[in-house]
Amino acid sequence: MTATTPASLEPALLEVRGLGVDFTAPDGSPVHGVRGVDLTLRRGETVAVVGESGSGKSTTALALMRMLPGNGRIVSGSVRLDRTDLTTLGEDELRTVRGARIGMIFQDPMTSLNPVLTIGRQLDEVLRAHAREHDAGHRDRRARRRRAQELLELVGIPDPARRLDDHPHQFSGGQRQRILIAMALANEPDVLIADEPTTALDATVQEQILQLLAELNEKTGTALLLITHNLGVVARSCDRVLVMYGGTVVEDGATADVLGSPRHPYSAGLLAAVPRLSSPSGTRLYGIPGSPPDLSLPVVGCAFAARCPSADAECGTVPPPLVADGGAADVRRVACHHPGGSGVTEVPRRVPSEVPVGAARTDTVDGGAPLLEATGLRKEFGRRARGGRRDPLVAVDGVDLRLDAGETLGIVGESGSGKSTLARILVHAHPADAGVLKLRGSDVTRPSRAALRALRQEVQMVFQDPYASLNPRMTAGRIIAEPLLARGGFEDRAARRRRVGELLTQVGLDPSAADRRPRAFSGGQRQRIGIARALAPEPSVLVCDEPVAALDVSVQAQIINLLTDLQRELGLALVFIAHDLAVVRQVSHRIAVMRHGRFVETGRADDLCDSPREPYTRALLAAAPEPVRVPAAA
Amino acid sequence: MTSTVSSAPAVRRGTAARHPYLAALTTTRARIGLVLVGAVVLAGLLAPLLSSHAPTAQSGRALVPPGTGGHLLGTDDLGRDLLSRLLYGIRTDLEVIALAVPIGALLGCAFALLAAVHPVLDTVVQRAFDLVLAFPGLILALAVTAILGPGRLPVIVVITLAEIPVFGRQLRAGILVQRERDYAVAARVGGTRRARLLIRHILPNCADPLVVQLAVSLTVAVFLEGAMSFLGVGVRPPEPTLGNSLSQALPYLSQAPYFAAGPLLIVTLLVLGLSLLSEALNRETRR
Amino acid sequence: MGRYLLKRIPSALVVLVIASVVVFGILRLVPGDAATALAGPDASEESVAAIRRQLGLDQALAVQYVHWIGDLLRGDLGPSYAVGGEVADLIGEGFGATVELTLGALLLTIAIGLALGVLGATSRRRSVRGVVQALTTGALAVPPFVTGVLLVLVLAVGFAVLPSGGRVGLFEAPDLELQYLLLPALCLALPSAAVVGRYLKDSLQQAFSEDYIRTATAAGVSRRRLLWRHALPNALPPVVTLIGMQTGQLLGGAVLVEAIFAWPGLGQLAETGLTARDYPVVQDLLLLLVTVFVLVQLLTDVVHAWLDPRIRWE
Repeated sequence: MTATTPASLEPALLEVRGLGVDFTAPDGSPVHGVRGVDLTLRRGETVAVVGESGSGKSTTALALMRMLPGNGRIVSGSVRLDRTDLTTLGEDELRTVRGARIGMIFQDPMTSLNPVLTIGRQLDEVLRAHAREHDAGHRDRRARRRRAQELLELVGIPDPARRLDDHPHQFSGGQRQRILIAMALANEPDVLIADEPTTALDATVQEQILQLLAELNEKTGTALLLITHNLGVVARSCDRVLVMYGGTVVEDGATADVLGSPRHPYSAGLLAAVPRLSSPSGTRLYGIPGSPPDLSLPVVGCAFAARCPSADAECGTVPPPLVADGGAADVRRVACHHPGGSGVTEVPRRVPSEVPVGAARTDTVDGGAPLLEATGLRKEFGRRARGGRRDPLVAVDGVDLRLDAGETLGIVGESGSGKSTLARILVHAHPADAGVLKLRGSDVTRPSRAALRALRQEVQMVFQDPYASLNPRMTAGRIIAEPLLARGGFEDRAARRRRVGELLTQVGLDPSAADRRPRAFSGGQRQRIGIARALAPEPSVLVCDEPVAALDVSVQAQIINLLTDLQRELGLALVFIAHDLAVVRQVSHRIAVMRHGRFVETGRADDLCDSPREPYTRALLAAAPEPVRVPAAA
Repeated sequence: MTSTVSSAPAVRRGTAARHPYLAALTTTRARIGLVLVGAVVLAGLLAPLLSSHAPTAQSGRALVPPGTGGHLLGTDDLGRDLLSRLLYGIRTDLEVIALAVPIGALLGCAFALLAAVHPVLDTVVQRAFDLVLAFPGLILALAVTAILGPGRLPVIVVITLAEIPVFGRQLRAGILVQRERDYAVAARVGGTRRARLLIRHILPNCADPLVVQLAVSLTVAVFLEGAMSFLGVGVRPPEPTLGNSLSQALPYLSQAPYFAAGPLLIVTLLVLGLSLLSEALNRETRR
Repeated sequence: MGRYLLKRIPSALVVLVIASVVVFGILRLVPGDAATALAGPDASEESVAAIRRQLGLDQALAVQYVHWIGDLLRGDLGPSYAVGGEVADLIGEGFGATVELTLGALLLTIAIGLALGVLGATSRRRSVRGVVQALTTGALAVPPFVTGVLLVLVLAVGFAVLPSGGRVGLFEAPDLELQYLLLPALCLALPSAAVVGRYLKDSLQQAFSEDYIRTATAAGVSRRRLLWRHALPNALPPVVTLIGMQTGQLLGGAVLVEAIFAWPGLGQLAETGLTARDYPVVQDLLLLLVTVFVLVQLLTDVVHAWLDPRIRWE
């Protein structure tokens, strides 16, 4: 890259060359987390590193700060900050870099602040840590407090003077991320590394944080290295982007170029897999087949070869170097033997589904009672406020809904909107405190034992977290067989085994998977097992609570497609709950927007997205970042 | 099926279904522990074969130093063979502990399961645990002995009583955490009944800390037996235990240190072995 | 904070009330009552009955219980049956000695436990961590009666640097008393110190793996401040609860240690009282110990809440 760098560009502030990081697995074998990563960051620039989990993007960020966990170490390459190689610095010299020249913020604002210290104390600690290198001003406690107050003001915390004495749990998630940004910027670093800074936040808050980062970048001239899996975020806020896969950089270039016309098949696939808000209901998503590579095994050739539509024999044996692509004046590099080759353009970007989903619903509406109907559902959780007064949290507050056979109802809401509680009421995991729930016209709000058994067969659930929702002590086969046993009729072991095999095949897994425990599967595979379990009692309603929120984009598409296919084949009615409006629009016939335990707006999916009536719906729509739209230079 | 069929499940290397307990037992730490505990247990089991004298027979030659007159470890103040008293002492200890700790653990777990059934029962069981815990262990021992009189029974009762709340609280805490986990909710939604959910789904996931606790409790039991015998409220002499052998040796410490050496060494080795085992299990299961 | 304390008090009271009933009941379960014990082996039926009447033992159990609690609340502990003298004086004497021993052991527990925990969790030297590990395992592996015997053997008999037993009284000769106290307190403290140390080590290691430590590290906070200002305040609250539980262990263990070191505390009084079936002495003594334990728990909860702002505001 140095050879092709136009002379007009300023020298690099942070320059990473050939960075390699190894981890030691519990059994002692090495895992090559990052291999030969090159990265250049100039003063005031914003660069994104995108990739899915396991791509090595976060490891790269941690390695820059020499903050790898105990089992990881840098095995090759250099990290130069203004010509100082950080990989060779001692602990004390490193300390003068961390927080002073490079600031860092992390993914989860809920756990990244010290719960027992006040915000003021934590900001003070950061200022104090670099008081010596700094001007004398920071040695004085009162001066530091003034500075802390300024910082809170800078990141938009109201009433900063008073709030300095509050503890983290007294702030919302978005505010905590603001405080963390304030801490990272406290000593005016040249570089700010943000590792998935908005992933744990709601869409509307995410938008605010991105805006704040952009403003600060402009105001303070701090270069920003943004690590994210979200292409929408990249498009919204970065000049350049690096795409990582399997521990290496596969593509590198200006954001507009990479997102506009990806040259690497993985970048292209990733872009195609992102659900877009602009796509109408019923659009089929493109999923990259297969799952990410196992980095504990040696990677021969291109890491993406196994999933690549245009891979040939060479891809399987020779690792492609990251080289300049085309003769463009702008720097654009791709690590692919067939960049932009035929395979990539053939990626099916949008396949309209065979059955127009909008039509299906109108037929069933006239046909008698709805499959599932709820009126005035309410659920409170006992909670105590300061001083022991009762202050119940109303999670679901008077929800009415109806669901017809074969229909998908999407429910969108941010965290705390009560959507998960609603899901659990619908499947009778929690009883409702008030309201009526009817299944095929009969009241099942407070079912008898027998009615509950019948109900358990009709209404099933798919959970958000494929790790937590499978019992780690049971094999996949036993997990799926459990509802069969409860239902009866499968006392015969062989019959049960056969049925489990059928279910596994139905969700796209091999029947031999029955003998393995959950930890042997990837996230997407586990979610398939969860779906197989839900299908076991042959339900007519499937309540999916954020079924893809914990999955990578390329896998997410596989699961969503599986769900819509199953719906068509089995005539299932789906309640599809998610925080991502784009996903919900594509799978749903109707959408309900949920906030503070209530439906604020319901309507046909396309109508609601194209012409929202409520301001909150509009805010949600505006906050969803689109990966194709590239912002004009500010 | 039109959706893409994912490639063969990615079975990770090294995780090939080896149970964490087995993995724990193959660590160096655990191996040393197993050897120590095994040796002591074996010595106790084979006591009749390994000793040439009856543990209570008095030879008339008191405080003979080791190696004289066919007494490998010497004799005590009453002229009894120290080796056979040591071996039979191990045997008594093992019998008491092997009975009391499992009973305590089982009862504790039973109470915890009972507490999981209904909130009212939970409160009752909780307060009962608090109550037992409020009596310092050895005070409890004194009180129980006052009722039952000295002997094996009070030792067993005291150890059992002391272990019930320990296991009970641990399991209760585990159940409370586990039953809110998604997999438990999923099983409930799938139609699994309450008893089955508790026993087959939740209990196995609470087992790890209990197994570690079992090893810890065995060491505590060795302590308790020893302490009770030492205070003269445990197993009645002349029947030997590790504890009463030690307390018997105390007055002769400067005069005949070999008197105390045997029981001292055995108690330490046994407890050390159990501690190493519990540590190894703890490390492996917390991974 | 005050409200938090108020919330804890009812359940503590419940435990105390039940404990008093249990204490009272246990003694009535002991075969043969105080009267038979007092009257001696050859006493006639009538004289036993007379003693029984005199002590009020012929009344219904409920009445006896109410009398006992009523007197207690008025601060009247009454005379002992068998040991001789006023119960209040007997308990007063031993209580001072036991509290002194327990407090000494508690201080040692905290000091040794903190040292073991902090070194074990943060030392960068493998050898230091190894030694800490060995010391912890060793202290856990050796029962207090064995430690006691060994300490006496080495320090009192072998080198004769410390007295092997007895007590002179803290106020009479403080410097000498500390010498007498050191061995029994150390012997009592070692297992608890090991438990505390091990738990603190785990707790600190847990804290060091948390995101907020990563935040502070990324901000350039020094290692030492990371430990003392960031990790320790988080690791400490559960350790405080543990120390509270260990105080109970120390109180109980004191009985044993008192026997080894001829320390004139409550343990000896409890033993004599029980064998003589001296109801008033044993009842009051047991209830006192339980009360102390419950108070320590309450105190622990308050300290815990003070250390952890999340609980304070609940």
